[in-house]
Amino acid sequence: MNPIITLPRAVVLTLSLAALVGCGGDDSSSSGGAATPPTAILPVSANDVTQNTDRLADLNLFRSQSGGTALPNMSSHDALIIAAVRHAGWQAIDNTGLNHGEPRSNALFTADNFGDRIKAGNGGADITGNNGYSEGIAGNAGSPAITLLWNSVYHRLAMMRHQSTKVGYGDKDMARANYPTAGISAGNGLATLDFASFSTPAVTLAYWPGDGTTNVPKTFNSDSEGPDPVADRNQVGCPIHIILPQATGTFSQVNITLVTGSTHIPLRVLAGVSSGFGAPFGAAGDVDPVTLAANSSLRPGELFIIPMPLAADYNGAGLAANTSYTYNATVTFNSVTYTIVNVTYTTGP
Amino acid sequence: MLPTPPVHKRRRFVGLVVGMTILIVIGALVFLPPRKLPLEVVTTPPSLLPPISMTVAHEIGHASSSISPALARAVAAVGAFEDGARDSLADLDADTMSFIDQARLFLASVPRRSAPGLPMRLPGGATMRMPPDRTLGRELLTPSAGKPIEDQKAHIVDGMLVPRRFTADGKLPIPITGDLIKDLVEPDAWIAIPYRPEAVAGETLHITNHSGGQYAVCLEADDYGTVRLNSGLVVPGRFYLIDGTMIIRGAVPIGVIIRPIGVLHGVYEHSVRPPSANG
Repeated sequence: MNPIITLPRAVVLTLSLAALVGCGGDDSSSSGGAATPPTAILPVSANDVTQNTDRLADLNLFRSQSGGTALPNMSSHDALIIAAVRHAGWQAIDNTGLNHGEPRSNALFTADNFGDRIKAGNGGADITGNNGYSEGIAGNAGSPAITLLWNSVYHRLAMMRHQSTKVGYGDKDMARANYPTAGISAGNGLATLDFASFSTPAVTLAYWPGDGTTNVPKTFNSDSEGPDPVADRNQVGCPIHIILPQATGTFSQVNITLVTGSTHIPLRVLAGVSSGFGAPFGAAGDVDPVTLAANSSLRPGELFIIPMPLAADYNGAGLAANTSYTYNATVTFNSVTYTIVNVTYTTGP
Repeated sequence: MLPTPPVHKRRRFVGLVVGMTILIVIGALVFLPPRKLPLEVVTTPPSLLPPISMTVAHEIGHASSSISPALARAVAAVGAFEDGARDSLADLDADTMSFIDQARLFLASVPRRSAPGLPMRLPGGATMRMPPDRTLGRELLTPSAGKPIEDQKAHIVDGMLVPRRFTADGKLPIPITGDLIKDLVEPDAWIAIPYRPEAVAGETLHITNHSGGQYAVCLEADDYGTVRLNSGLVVPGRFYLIDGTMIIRGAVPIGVIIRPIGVLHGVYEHSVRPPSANG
């Protein structure tokens, strides 16, 4: 199973075998224990800027597809880029899979805690005004890595949250270009995204996919994420994500339907353990079991709805390719009722 | 001289008695101190009667800078009780219990006015609806008795509110800017701000409304002992009019919930402000 390492104000989730690694926590800050890096930390290069511009466009495209209130665009931050590039290089040299920590030293070692790595990239100080760091890692790189990370549960948290507004992207190629003598092998991968969140902007109603979104991934391999958000199934549909403008409280009703033609798709709802559920908790529509998320990563007011097409075996199945689906949701949280009406999206190939 | 007829003597005597009685009553009303609420030990479920006299509150002096956390907790608990949360007074410590009577008086000094309580329909069809208030036994002011509620007139469509502005792609625009000093720049938004004092070194959160719409704010916290809105005390679940700059502080995480007034059923003019000196 995927080990969960708890660090000061951080939850770092490591997944060594699958294609992506999730940082379920959003509150990693520096531990103050960073050692002197064996290789000097270099500033961002022109290539770093180009790559980050492209990945930002990928990320902001997803954010722009959400419904409700517009999500602010993310922007780059040099310290996050520096940290992400070096950590991608560290993983490449370490060559033991994806890892949020740096438990061993090599040429690109910075610190074991990613909060310390970001701090090192920022000249030894925390990014001003930040109130939490997050990190996501995928085995691949470029646009496909952004899609892979978005098509998940815990990784999408930092990518879609309102306050998560600064990001830095790094991968193996970028690390090799910046540190050509560090011993990084050929081939790209190890996309690493470091995020900083702030107390602004405020949380408003947002949901993804928004109406008219196209090319939604048809399948999410839930086993590829740690912790596995759908433990009894591997293949499921791409998660629907709803963020409510609430800060604390409980759900008392979740009524969601997902339909294609006349076929209703069974759904599973994930909610954070911090949200709690009123008694009696009402679930209806296509919602089958309502599951508290495996850890406390989800904040109150955050819901993931997992499409679970009927399948006879554990491997499950995703949604159909190039097919339109429509969802309706009525969710009551803190006695406030939110109704999302006739949101239609289309899957990709 | 003729003696005074007995019937006249009796009338004069009765008049004298009545007159003296009136003088005694007037004297008592003028010179005796106003009646204070008796201290009582409130048990669960307590009986919360309306305060007898609003003027009594002015006898109780509290410097606003030294509001006791116990008083703040009592105001939160009693207010929640008045709003229908019948278990809010259970498990209060003795210190908080001792402020129950003061809390009642202070709460009675903040008027509530009703608001339309309409659902809001967003572009794209999503709707959001606040639940009815649980306020019990409280006379509510009608909208016409308070300030005019602009949202009520201009934006009702088939019994629903619709936002005034939206983006070209059919979303509500980003409604608020700034970090610890925030400006509401768009009307009609539903907003939550997680305020974490430990992440901002205890600095206060400022919210100013420049949106052209009317907003109210509600503060949610696990412990209201240190929670302050413009230095005043708040009740969980109650919305307070955003007027000028609202300053929020507390030693615990606070969920700052902002709603357009048109979707609320009631709003309070300001937070509970204990008198800063004897009145």
